[in-house]
Amino acid sequence: MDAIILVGAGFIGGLLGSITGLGGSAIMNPIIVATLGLPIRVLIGSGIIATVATSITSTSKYIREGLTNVKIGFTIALTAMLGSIIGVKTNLLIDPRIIFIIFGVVLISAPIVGFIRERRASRTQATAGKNISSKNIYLASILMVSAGFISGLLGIGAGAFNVLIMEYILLLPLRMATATSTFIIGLTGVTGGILYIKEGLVDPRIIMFTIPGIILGSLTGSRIMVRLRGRTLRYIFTALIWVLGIQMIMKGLY
Amino acid sequence: MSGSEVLERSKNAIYRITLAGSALALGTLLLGLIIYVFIDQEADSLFTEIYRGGETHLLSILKGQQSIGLKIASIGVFILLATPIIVTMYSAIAYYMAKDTHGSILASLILIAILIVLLLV
Repeated sequence: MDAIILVGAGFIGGLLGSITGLGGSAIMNPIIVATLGLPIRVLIGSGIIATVATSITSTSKYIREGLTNVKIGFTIALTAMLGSIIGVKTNLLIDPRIIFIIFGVVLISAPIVGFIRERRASRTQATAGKNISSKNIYLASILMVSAGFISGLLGIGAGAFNVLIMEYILLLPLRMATATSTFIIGLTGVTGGILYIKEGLVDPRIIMFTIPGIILGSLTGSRIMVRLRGRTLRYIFTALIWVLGIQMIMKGLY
Repeated sequence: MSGSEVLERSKNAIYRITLAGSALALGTLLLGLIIYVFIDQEADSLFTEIYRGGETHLLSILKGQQSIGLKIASIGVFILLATPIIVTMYSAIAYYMAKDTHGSILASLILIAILIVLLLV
């Protein structure tokens, strides 16, 4: 029964994550907490490995299509990795109840970040990664510390935050920002993953049962996205994520 | 070969590395899952004896008495983590060959950061 729940949670995480841009682990972990009641730190440690799996699977496709800007990725990944280390260390220091609350707040705020990005999309002029001022590179690098911190702290990719930084500060086109963000997630995931493995907080049982579900869910989600004309279904999915976020906050508070 | 040609070729190589890495890692995890469920038959008692301390250390799983399926899945996790590291190593060499000092230094710094995390943090 546990195995079915894990595969199912991975599938739902992959499905909703690909539609809302949150990623699989962010949605999968609250579902597993609610159903199996596994320790949040073990789920976070295992979740960050799942982000590496989805990152390298997607990166191969994006690199083939020439969408990933590897050099920009390396430039800002360095500070994101630093943020990830700080995030993991913070996770190990703070009370799990605080982790639940932060997780809930991130779940509620991430779709809002997505909506803001969409509303402002037409106002920015993308430069495809050329002629980026050094001031913007420094600013993006500093902000990537926070994206890496969220990734390390909660075991999620934090792709929504990465894309926002790359689209508005580095002025990358959305598809290039998404592809480069996916590449960066792999590097921050490795950093966080190594630290969680060292702490004994990565369980191969969770990983082997959830990853097939996440991949299947992501594939289904991306197909639904293509057919999704109206925003109604997306609003419903966002509402579901908010319910999960509120549930996490409640778990932290009571 | 010019620097831009080297970098263009390196993109193809990175594509192949990530594709091979993900296929190998996911294949290993899937093999681990199949053995764990069908041969070891441990899926029914998945989380009954868990988290008593040290049990989830991947290296101790590899050395210990745990099921073969779990050991194979642990190897899959290590392959997953190794793939971005190999991509970074390859990129550092490619940038060096293309005489792109900036790119080479950046990729090397990433590798040094991973090494520090692995050994010191």
